[in-house]
Amino acid sequence: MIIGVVIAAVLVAVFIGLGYFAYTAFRETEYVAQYRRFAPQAPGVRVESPWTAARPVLLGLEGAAVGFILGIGIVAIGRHIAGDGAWSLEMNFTVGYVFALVGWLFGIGVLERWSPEWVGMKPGGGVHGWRRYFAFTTDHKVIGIQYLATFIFLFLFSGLLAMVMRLHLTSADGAVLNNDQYNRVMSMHGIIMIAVAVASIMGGFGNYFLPIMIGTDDMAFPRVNALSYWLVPPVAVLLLASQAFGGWDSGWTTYPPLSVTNAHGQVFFCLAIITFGLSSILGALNFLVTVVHMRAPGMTWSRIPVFVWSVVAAAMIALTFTQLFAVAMLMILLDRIANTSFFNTADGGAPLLYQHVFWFYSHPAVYIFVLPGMGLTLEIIAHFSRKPLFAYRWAVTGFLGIVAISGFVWVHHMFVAGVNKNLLGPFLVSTEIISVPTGLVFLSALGTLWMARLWLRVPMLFALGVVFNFMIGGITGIFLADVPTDIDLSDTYFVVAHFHYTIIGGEIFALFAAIYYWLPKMTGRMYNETLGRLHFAFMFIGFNATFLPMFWLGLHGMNRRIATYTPNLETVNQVTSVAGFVLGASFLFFLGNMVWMLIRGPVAETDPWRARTLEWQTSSPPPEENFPTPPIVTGNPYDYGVPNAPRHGAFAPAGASAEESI
Amino acid sequence: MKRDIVALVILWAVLTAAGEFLAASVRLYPAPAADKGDDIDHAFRALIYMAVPVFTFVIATLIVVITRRGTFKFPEEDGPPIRGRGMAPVSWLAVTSGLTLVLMIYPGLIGVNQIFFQDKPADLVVNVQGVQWAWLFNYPQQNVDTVGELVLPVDRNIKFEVTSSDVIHSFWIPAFLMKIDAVPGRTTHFELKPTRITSYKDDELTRVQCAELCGLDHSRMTASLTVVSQDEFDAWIKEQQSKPTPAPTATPGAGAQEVTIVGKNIKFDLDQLTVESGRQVDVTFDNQDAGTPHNWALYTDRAAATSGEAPIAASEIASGPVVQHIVFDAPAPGTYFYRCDVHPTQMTGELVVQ
Repeated sequence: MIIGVVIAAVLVAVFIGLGYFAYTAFRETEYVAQYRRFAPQAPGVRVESPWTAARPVLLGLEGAAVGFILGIGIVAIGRHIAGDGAWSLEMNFTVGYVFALVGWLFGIGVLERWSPEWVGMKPGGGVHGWRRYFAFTTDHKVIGIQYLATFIFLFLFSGLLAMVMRLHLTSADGAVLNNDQYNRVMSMHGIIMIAVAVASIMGGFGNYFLPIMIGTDDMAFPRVNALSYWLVPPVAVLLLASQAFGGWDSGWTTYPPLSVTNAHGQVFFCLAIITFGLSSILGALNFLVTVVHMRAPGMTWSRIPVFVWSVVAAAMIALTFTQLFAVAMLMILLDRIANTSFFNTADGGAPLLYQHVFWFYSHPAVYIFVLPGMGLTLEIIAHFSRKPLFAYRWAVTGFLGIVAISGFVWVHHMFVAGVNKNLLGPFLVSTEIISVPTGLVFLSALGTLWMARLWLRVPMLFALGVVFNFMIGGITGIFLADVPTDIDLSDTYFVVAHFHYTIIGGEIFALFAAIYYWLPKMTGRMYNETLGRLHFAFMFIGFNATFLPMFWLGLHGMNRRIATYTPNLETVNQVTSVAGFVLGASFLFFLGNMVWMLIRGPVAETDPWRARTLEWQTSSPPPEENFPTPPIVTGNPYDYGVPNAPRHGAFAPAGASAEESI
Repeated sequence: MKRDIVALVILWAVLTAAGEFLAASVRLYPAPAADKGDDIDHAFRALIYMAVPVFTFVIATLIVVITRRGTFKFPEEDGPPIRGRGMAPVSWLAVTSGLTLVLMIYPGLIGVNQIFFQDKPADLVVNVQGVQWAWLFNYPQQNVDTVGELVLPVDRNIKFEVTSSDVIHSFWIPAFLMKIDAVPGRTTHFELKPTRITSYKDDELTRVQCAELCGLDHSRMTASLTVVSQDEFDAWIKEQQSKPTPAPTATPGAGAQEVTIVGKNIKFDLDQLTVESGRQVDVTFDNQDAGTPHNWALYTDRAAATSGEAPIAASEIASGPVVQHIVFDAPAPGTYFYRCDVHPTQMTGELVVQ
């Protein structure tokens, strides 16, 4: 009886879905083609209602619904035939999700903008105006803003979760949550912040500015670029929806066997990571091909801005290692839904296998976080020091050195996991070698600052904050790379403090430096300097006051991921919590500043920072094709104060040829 | 330029002197209570001494540059075009590489050798089993088992054999600065020698704490640790050995009241049982948690259970799936307390005798 209903529902879904999609695709391409022919320059003629803005997302949701029913139906029918009973939540949901994801991508834009080509038809054109921010759009600048808005929202949301955790930890027995709630909030905070760290700078500023900085009009694969963004909303939806199915309480590292036996929410987590990994790999591939093949004439490898180099380095890591994270998640998923027993010791599985596979990605991943942060910091320090970037080639060598070593250090996360003791020495050595290329990046930063003409605007304040914070993060990393001290410090608050110093201190400070540096270019308006300084002061003091005491907590017996702790640590935890609230409150200045900028901000000049790189030569905001004519590059990006240095690059105003203007 | 260099050198020297003085005089780490803890403590100090000049160099540079060269107005002239080619980066590379090499050798590799490759014959072996969310200890030479209570003799080499029966835990003793993960399907081990007498009452660090996230009550997965003299340890062992083991299952007489209680997912299915006074009771305890040890133990009240009084009746601690019978004569009317001794906070209930 039930199976009959399921079959009927699947068939109806297939017919409705395919029929409607075919109709929509045909109508859209015809319609847009006509529209283009008769009124190519008059988008204002069309009435822009909220419905037309919501249309792509609604179509995507419809595709997802159809796919979901199809997926769970196929599993139900298969299980029914095999005699297993039609319904197994995790198996039906997993397959349903895979189909729903495909349906979502087709609905959101693949069907209209891409697939007609596969059958020899002309794909539909893009939407215009503000609606394009809610649609499958191939303009890298729109995609950059989509990424940035999404991940700043997720950052603030996950920051609120951190506030809840700090409130809870004001009491040794836990103040506001029960243990299960705490474990779930902590896990969710962890993975969302990891996603923010992976994609905020790369996805946001990498997409927006990398093509402009190398002097081209778009990414190498614009539609793949749109695809990699539209894979992100399902990730956020899965992570939030997981909470309705018990959430997951195994942290962002989700070690089995715990992650094989906990609540159904774990399945949502695994699917979210696999999806996000796909997005990350596509993005990385796109960045690499773009930089290799799309550079403007004269943009030699030694002339590309250092931020572009850092994105290239991070993309190399993302492209090489991300699949390992997906494989680790797939093994957990299969253990749960197909009894594969990769990690079930009773059936010959090995829980430690997971940690090797997982950290084989997840250690290099920290360099996906911090490399673009380092690149941005050097970029901003050079422009605001009014000096050439010190030891440019050595800094780039440092980036590439980090990439090379990053794949050979993962066992340092497992020094106390019970690995063979002969592994300890070699991985201690390889891990500590990383400090040499990192030192080259510091050399570049400090050398550029030396004898500089420091212009202390808000972006520069944040960049100097990175130098200070990341130095503490780096030095404390030595204590964790060193096996003897790591035996005690692993899994304590010392580790918590260390990685917040590297990720917030090294990347999130750089993210905000970039926001103040580049938003005038993106929005065409200036931010408020006073509010920006207040944001920096509160964030810098709040951050250090929150995380410095955590080193002390780790040395005094507070291990990580705990909802309750011993009473002797209560005072320091309360101090930490209050400082944490100051850190949280600093973002009110940021939000206020953004609102002020959009409402009252003065119009930004083309080049408010007197910087030499290409993005500051084109208008604020840049035109759709980035430059009126293709730019030609003739000099180095950071030759401040160099006598008779040629311009970094130039282009002719619309209508003239580039050579004439140089 | 010259003034900047002079300022930098002076500031760096002053900050480094102050930093090293602080590092030598302030005890960042609580004093360890084991020989290998001392090795770790020395390694930590060595790293601090080496970190101070690096830290102060960056701080001094930032301070000199910002105070001498910083301006809020746009600097009309550009800085000197120093590109950083030639000897400066090469010497930086040499210095950082040299420092890294020193760190690797000491405290790095020498420390690894001291801590992992110098094992002495063990005077005492302790088997440690992590379960969600308790620690079980077994002293195989003395044939003693305890739950949540670890007692060690001072100045003896002790070898811990650590494993887990469900998920990954981590066996951490903060006072010894020592930890090793408890992994299902494997036995990991660690050897050390406690060097002073201490207990949880004197110092919160003297405890066993799970350090690897293991689910719901991870933060409460602790055990008390007491380091005592050899004499006191022998006395404690004797006391443990003389403790009456739970009475073997008696055959229930005719007319016994049958009660069934199930332990599953680290919970009892019933938090209240009712029996009549004056008759024999036959409790059937069905432990359905595969691999997880439970028992059913009856005490006069909660306080009696936590203070270590002997139970009125109890079954042996055994891993599921297993069905146990506990047969006893119902006590005087009143309310009594039962629990699983392995999970004293998660699995409790009351027995009402009418």
